[in-house]
Amino acid sequence: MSADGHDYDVIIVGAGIAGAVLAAKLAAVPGIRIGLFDAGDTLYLDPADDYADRRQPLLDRFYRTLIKTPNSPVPDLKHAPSPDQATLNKYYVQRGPYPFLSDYARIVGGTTYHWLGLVPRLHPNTLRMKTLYGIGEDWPITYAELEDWYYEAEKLMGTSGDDADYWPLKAGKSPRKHDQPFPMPPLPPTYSDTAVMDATRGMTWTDPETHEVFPVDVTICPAARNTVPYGGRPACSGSANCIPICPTRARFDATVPLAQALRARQDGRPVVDLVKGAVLTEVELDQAEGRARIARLRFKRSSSRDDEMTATARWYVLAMHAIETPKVLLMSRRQRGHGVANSSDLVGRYLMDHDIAITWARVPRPLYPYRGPRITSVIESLRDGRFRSYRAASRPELSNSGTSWETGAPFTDVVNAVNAGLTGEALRKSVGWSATTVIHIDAMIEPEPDHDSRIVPSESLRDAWGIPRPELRYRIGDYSARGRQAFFDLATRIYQRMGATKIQLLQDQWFDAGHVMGTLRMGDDPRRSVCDSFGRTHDHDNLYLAGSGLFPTVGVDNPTLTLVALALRTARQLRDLLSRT
Amino acid sequence: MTDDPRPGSRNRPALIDDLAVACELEHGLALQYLFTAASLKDDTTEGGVTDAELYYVRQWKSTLYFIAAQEMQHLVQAGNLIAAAGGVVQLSRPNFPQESHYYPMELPWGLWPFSLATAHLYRDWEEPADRPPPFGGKAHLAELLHLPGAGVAKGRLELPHAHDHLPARLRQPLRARASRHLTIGELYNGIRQGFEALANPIIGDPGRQVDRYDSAFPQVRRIRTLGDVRLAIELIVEQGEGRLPDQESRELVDVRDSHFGLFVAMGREYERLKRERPDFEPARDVAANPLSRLHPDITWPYFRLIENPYTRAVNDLNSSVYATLLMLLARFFEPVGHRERRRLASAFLPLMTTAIKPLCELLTTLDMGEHEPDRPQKAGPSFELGRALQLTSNGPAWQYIVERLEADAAAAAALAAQAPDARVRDGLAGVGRRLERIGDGLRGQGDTVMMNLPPVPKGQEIFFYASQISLWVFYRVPRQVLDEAVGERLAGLGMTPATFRDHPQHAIVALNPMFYTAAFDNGLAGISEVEFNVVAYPAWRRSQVPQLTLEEFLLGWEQEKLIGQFRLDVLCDNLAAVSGGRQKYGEHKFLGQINFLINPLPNTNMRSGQPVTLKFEAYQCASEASCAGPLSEDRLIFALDATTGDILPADSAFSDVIVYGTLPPEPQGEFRLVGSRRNHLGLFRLYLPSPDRPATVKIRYGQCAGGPPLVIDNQAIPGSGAWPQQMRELMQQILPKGEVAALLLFETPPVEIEPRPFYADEG
Repeated sequence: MSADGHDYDVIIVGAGIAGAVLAAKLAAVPGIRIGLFDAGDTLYLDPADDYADRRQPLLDRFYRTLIKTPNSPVPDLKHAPSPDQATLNKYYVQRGPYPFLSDYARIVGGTTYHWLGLVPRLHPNTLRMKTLYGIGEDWPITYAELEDWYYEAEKLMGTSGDDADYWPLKAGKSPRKHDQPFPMPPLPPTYSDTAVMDATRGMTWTDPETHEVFPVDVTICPAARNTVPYGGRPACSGSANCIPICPTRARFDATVPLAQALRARQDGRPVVDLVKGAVLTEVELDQAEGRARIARLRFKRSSSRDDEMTATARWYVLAMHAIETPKVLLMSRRQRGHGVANSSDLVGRYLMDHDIAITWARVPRPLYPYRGPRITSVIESLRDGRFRSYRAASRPELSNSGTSWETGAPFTDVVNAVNAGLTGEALRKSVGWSATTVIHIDAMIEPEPDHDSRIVPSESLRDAWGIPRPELRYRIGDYSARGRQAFFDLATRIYQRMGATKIQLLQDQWFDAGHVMGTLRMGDDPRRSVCDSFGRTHDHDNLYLAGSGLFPTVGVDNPTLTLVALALRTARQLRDLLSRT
Repeated sequence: MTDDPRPGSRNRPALIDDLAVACELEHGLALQYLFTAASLKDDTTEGGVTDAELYYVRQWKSTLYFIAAQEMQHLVQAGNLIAAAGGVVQLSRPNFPQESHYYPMELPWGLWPFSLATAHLYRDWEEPADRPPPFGGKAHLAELLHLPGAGVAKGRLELPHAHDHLPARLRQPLRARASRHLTIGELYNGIRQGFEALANPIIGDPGRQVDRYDSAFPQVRRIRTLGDVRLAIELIVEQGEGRLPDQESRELVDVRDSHFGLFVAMGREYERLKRERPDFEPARDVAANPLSRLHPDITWPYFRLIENPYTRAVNDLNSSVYATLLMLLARFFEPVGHRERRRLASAFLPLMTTAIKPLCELLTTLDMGEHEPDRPQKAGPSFELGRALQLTSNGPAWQYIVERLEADAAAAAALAAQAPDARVRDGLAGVGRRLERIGDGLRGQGDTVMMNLPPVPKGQEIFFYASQISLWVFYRVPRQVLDEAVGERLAGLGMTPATFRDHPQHAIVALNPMFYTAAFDNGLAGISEVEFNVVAYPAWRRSQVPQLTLEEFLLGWEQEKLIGQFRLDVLCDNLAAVSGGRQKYGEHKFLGQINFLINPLPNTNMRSGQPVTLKFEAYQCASEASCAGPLSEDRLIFALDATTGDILPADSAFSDVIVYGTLPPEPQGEFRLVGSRRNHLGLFRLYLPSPDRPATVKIRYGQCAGGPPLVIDNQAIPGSGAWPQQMRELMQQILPKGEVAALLLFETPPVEIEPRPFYADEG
C-alpha cells in the first residue's frame, strides 16, 4: 500500500477535458495545491521541454493497429481498460435492450485525443425542453447565462467559424453576441459540401405533423480546428484524421489546458501534482448519516492490484466522464446503501448518446470524398421547432469520408472490383469511380432522456484489478425513432435534388456518436437531480461533478463545447470559494 | 504601438510607393516560403529523417505553405489598400536573387532550401517592429551561403556587382523608392500614418478591391474608411509579428502563433533534433537560387543556372503557370461582378494548390545537371518573370488566360511523355489534366457578361400600372448610421449608398407609400404598397456615377440612371403583386394590410399650392389565411402622417425611376443583382422643406412581433413571419437619426374627362 495522507486543496479525478480545464483555471488561485489523478499511466507531454507534446507513441500505435477504431492509438491498460469499439464487451457488460456502442479513452488527456472537434453551441431551446415541449427536464441555467462561458470556451479551445451565419442569425443557429466573433475564420467547405449547397439552394422542408416549414441551409460547422495558427498550434493541414488522433494538434484537445495546468508554478513549485495510474475505487464520507462531506478518496494503483492509496482535500471534483464517475459513486456503498451523492436515486440514470442515422446515395458525378476533416458542413436549420414535442430533432452532417463508415469504402470498392475480375487500369478506374461518386449524409438524432437507460456497477463481473465493470442498460425510444424517419425523408429529398440514382437509408442500424451523456443530471431540485448547475452535489457540500454527465437534455449537438463552458463556470465558483476560505 | 522613429509616408505618391514595396515584399516572401517548403522531405525513404523527425518536418512544411498562403492574403490586402489610395496593385517584382540592399530591411532576398539559417532569416524578416534584429544581414548571408555543399568559399561574399565600376560617391544603394524602415511592421506603421495624414485618403473605386465574400481570401477586408485601414494593417502586422505584450490590442494573434513566433519555434525544433541526432537532414539536396536563365534585373550573383534541359523545361512550365496565376490575381482587382470573382476564385485556388504546389515539389527532386559532388544536385522553382507578364484588364484577357492554360497543359503533357521515370510522368500528367480542367472552367467567361436578362414568364415582360398616386418621403441620414444598420448587407450585395455633393457625409433613404391600380386576369385591382429604400448604385459602376446635389437628383438630372433605390423592405396588400414583385423584380416583398388616405384625392379639384396630406398605416397580416381583421397596435408596423405644408412644389422629371433588388429576393449563396426602370408617364412634384417652410412628417411605430409566414403557391417561406417586425426595427434604427430632406408627389393625369352636364331636353 502506498503512503496515505496526500493532502490538497482540491483533488480533481480525471485528467480529461473537464478535469484539465478545471486544473488549468484553478492553478491561478494563490497558494493552491491541486492533485490531478488519472487512471492513465503515461503523460504524453515532456516535462523536461516545457510540457511540449509527445504524441508520437500514440501515432505509432495507431499506424500499427490492424483495425482502426477511435481508441486505436490508446493503450489498453490492464488496470484501467478502455472500451474499444472492436472489443467493446470485453469491458462493458451490456444488458440491453440496445447495445451501447460509444467508447471513451482512459488515458491522461482523455477522450479528446480522438474527438472530431465540432463545437456547435446548444440551441437555446434545448435548455428548456420541459417548458416548451414537455420533454425531459429544463436545465437549471439559461442560454443567456451560458453565453459568455461559451465564448470563453471558444477562445480557450480555439474555434473557427463563419460570423456571417450569425449576424444576422440564420435559421436554427444559436445566437452569438456581436462583440464575440469566432477567434478564427471558418474552414472552407469541401467540394462535396459545395455540391450539396448547390443542390439545396432555396430548398425547404415541411414537417408532416406540425406543418412547420424549415429552410435547408448547409453551413460550415464551428470547429475547434485551427484555420490559422492559434494557441501555439498549427493550422489544419487536412490530415483527415481528427479521429482517432490529430497528428498535428491543429485540432484542440485536452493536452492544451493540461500542459497549461502542469506548467503553473507558485513560489517556484508546481501547483498541480499529476498522479498517474490511479484508479478511483471509492469515495469515502466523513459520516454515515446526515449531511456528510467527502473525507477521502481511495485509489488502486497501476503497479499492482493490491497497491492502494488514499488522498484528501478540501474540495473534490470527479471528472471521469459519464460512465466511470457514476460507477464509482454507486460503488461507494460502504456508508450509504444507495451510494454517494445518490439520495435522488438518479446517479447513473438517463444515460444518453446521439444515435446516428446514416444514409448514402450514388450520384452521377464524382464528389471527390476523402479530403479534409470528416465533417466540415452541417444542416442546423432544422434543430428546433414545435415538432420537438413529439419527435426528436436531428442535425444532418455531410461526410467527407464517403461511405467508409457504413460500407468500409474505399477498401470494399477494391475488394468488390477484384472479385468482379478487374485488374490493372480497369481496376483503378472502377475504384476511382465507385469510391468517389457517393454522398453520405448522416444525422445525430436527439435522444429523449429515459429514467431506465442507465449504467450501474456490475455485481458479478470485474476487470483485471477486481473493480466492477460498467453494466449498461441502454434504451432508445420512439421519440428518437420518429426523428430518424423525419431525417430519412429530408435526406431522400436532398439526394433527389442531386440526381442520385441509388438512395440507401440504413433503417435498421443505429450508429454511435461517442457522446456519452446524462447519468449525473444537474438541476435545482435535489429530488430530481444529482447536482446543481455548477456540478456541486446536492448531498455533499465539498463534492463537485464535471463533464457531459451533467446534461439533463442534449439536443443534437456535440457536447464538448458545452461541457467546457460548464467546467469554466464551475472553476469560477470554486476559485471564489477557495479565495474566500 | 511604440513611438515610431520613422515618419509615415509623406504624401500620396510616397504612400503609394510604400504600398508598392509592401506588395512586392509580401509577394516575394510568399514565394521564398513556397520554395523552402518544397525543399523539405516528404518521407523517410528519402533518407536523413526518422519517423519521429518526419513528424516535425511535415509540420514545418505545412507551416511554411500556410504562411505563404497568408502572405498571399497580405499581398491582396496591400492591393486593396493601394487601390483605396488611388493606385493599382503592384504585382510585378524583380527576379530572384537580389542584393540585400534592394529592400529597406536590408536582409537577403532569394530562394533558399530549408536550413537553420533559413529559419533565422525568415524570423528576422518577420521581426517585431520594436525589437532590433539580433544580427545584421551580412551574418545571414554567410550562414545561408555556407550551406553544406553550397560551394561558395569564405571571403567571397564581397563579390563585385553590377555597379562596382562606378566611383564610390555615385554608388547609391539599389533600393526601392520607399521610406527607410527596419522591419515590415514599421513599413506598415508608416503606411497607416500616411493614410491618417492625408486630408482625403480614400479616393479609389471600392469596386477595384477584393472582398472576402467573393474571393479566396477569407480575412481580406475592403477599405472604405480609415477604420478599415487600421484594422487591415493591424491584422497583417499581428499575423506577421504577433501581439506584443505592451500593445493595446483586440487579441488577434498571440506572438507564438505569428510568423515570427512560428519561425522561432521552427529554428528551435531544428536545433534540438539536430543535437539529438546529428545525421538529421530534413531538406532535400536543393540549390539556392536556381535559375533557368539570366535576367537583366538580377543584382546579386549568387544564383545557379539549371543545366539539365528537362529540369529547365519543368521550371519554365512552373514559371509560366505562376505568371498566369498573377494575371488571375490582377483580375480580382478589376471592377468585375460578384459572379466573375467567384469564378476567378474557383480557378485561382486550384491553380495554386493543384498545379504550382506539385510542380514546386517535383522540381526539388529534379537534377540541376551539374556534376560537382560538393554542390547541391537538385533544383527548385525559380518563379521567373519574363517581359510577357501583361496584366491586361479588358475582355479578351480571358481568352489570353485560357490560351495560356491550354499551352501550359500541352507543355505538361509533352513533358510527361519524355519523363525519366513513372513518378515524374504521373506528376506532370496530373498537372496537365488539372490545367486543362481549370481552363475549361474559365472558357467563355468573357462572352456571358451582360448578354442575358433575368427570366420573366412569357407575356409578362412589362407591368402596366393603370393609375397611381404616391407621396414619397426622402430622409437624409448620417452615413455612419446607415452603415451600421445595413452597410454589410449592401456591401455583400455589391451596392453602394449614394452620396450627394451637398451632403457628402449623408446617405438618403426613402419611405415610399403608393396606391395604384393594375389590370389582372380577373379585373382591375387597387393596390397599396410601401417601399423602404436606400438611394444607391451598383458598386462596380462607381466611376460612371455623376456627382450631383440631392435637389438635382430629385429633379431628375441623373440621366445616367445609375443611382436608383435599393429596396430593403416592401410591404403590399395584394398577393399577386407580392408574388410578381418577388419573382420578377427581386423585391424583398411581403403581404400586409394597408390604410392609404391622401387628401386631396387625385384628380379632384386640386389647386396649386394646396397642401397634400397623407395618412398611411401598415399592418402585418392577421393570420396565415387572411390579412384582413381588426386593426390593432400589436399588428401595426408603422403609421405615417405627412403633409407638404406651405412648401411650394417644383416640377420634376424624376422618371425613369430606377429600382434595384436581388434574385432570389432573399439572397444567399448565388444571387444576381437586378434593376428595373419604372416609367412614370407624367411629372413629379418635388417639395423641398426649408426652415421657414417645413414639411411635417410624423411616424409612429407599432408593436408588431413575429407574425404568420408569407405563403406563396402554398409554400410558406421560412422566416418570413419575422419580416414585418424586422422592417419596423430597421426603420426605427435608421429614421429617427435622419431628417426629412424632400417629398415627391406623383399622380396620374385623368384618363377621361367628363365636364359638367348640359340639358338635353327641349327646356
